[in-house]
Amino acid sequence: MEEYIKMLLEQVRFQKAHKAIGDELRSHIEDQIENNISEGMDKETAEKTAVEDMGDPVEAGIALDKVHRPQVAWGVIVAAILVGIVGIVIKFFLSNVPSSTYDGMAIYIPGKMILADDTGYYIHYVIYGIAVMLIMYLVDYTTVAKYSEIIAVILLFSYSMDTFIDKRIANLEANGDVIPNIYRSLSGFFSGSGSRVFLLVPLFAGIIYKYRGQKYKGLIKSLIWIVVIGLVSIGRYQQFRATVIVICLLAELTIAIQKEWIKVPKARTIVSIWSLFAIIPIAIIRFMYNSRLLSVHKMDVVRAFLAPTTSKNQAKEILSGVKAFGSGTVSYFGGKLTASTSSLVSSGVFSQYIERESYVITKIAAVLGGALTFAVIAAVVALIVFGFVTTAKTKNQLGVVMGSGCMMWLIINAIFNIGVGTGLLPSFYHTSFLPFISDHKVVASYAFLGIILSIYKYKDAYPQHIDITIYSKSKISSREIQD
Amino acid sequence: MAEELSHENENNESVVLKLLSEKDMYGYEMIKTLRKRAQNVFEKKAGMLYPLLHGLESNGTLNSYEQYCRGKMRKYYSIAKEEKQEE
Repeated sequence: MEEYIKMLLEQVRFQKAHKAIGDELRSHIEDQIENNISEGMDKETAEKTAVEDMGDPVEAGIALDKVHRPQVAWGVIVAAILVGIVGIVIKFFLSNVPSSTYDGMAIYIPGKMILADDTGYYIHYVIYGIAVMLIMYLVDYTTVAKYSEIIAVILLFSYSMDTFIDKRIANLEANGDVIPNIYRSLSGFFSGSGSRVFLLVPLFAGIIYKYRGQKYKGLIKSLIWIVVIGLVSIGRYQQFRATVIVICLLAELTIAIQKEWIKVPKARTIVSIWSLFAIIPIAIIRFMYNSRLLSVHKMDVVRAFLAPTTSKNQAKEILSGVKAFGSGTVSYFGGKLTASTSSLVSSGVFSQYIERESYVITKIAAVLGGALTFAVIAAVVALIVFGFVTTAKTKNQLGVVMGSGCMMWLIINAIFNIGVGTGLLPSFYHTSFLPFISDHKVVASYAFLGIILSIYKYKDAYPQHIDITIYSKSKISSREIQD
Repeated sequence: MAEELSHENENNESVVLKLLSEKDMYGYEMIKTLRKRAQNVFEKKAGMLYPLLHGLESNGTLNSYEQYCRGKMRKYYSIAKEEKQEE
């Protein structure tokens, strides 16, 4: 039997498909052997006859090779490059209206410094992002899922250390104390780990996939991971980022429960976990607000949420003068004073780093007009939806959950960014970004598209469920049986 | 020769689809049922059933899912909803 399977699989070039094909054929031949034995054959003859019934392994292998090929989601790649080109064109026109305040953002390449307002700054990130996307296509997402717990622990540890050291350095500087060299060295070592925190979204899919077959124990472990990831992701003042990540993790857990990875009552558990993560943080913040335990800045943020209509909405003010094409005009004091929308966005308030990312839509509308803004929003949203649709084409459940989590992270950030940038949501301090367009999240956006490409690549190789445990198969079998 | 093969493939495909229109089945179950009905187009070449099934799954004609049956996890095939509605 094994000789037949080996000869057949030698014809199938896509190695990743071998396990699923081999398992299915082995199961078939074993059933045939069992049938032959029940008809009176001895074991040896039963196996020989069963294998003969299968026919020519080379012919079958060649036919299977035609079906099982790595798939390329060309549509996603082309759409991603097109959005990059749209972004470059937009940034080129925006660079004619630079910010009046240099906020220190620049990239350094040999012999040159590119400021954040230069088109070259964005082009650098698009090229880097597309390269990362194509590298992710070459990576097997199931291998990443296999080591998801280890990678997640390393990321969480790194960022926790980064946050701790940053806070210590800030405290020492505030007190005028000398900062020990060890702190500076450690700060350098762990710096940048915050920018990789978003990777916990796809990693979480791998983590909860390993709990497949468990009941409340798996649910509790999953919830502990969400709480830890949420708390660590806050870092220094990154509450919005942490909230978005937690929403994505809850969405992944919801899909996992719905697909019966974790065997608990579905509707009741899903409603409970979402309620828990909505009510408890709100209750804590409310208590701290009422007890004046929050910092002055955080009190302002809460007030902005509670009374959005009284908060200054600069985006709405600027967008009131937007035209379909080109710069518009905003009137003040009954028309006695006017200002162009493009000059308003190049004034101080939008030049800070945070505002640059949060109000990119406002800047595009103010400088290039509403029509192009709508086109940019439509292109970004269409690409993300395309990502969702491509993920749905795979039957592998780990791929579906991981891909959905990644696209959810992009769409939630896009919705908030568009909401604040168009003045539909109240202004408040946050760090949302427009996927593929905001400079410092271009690479992250393309990285997540790369995960979608990887998932799609293996769509004809991996079955509904695969083994991603790191230890031996015998332990997996006993776990599956007991669950 | 190529035309004969193509005609044979089409015939095998329609036999398999007719079988799955009755109920979801796994590979060996299909072969066993076809034998009982003296319709086993895969006689002495049961291995060729799987390229057909995998191809139909890849092009969206069939779906598959895994389920325990008689002590083993088996891969069941079913006709995709869109195909059923067309009928």
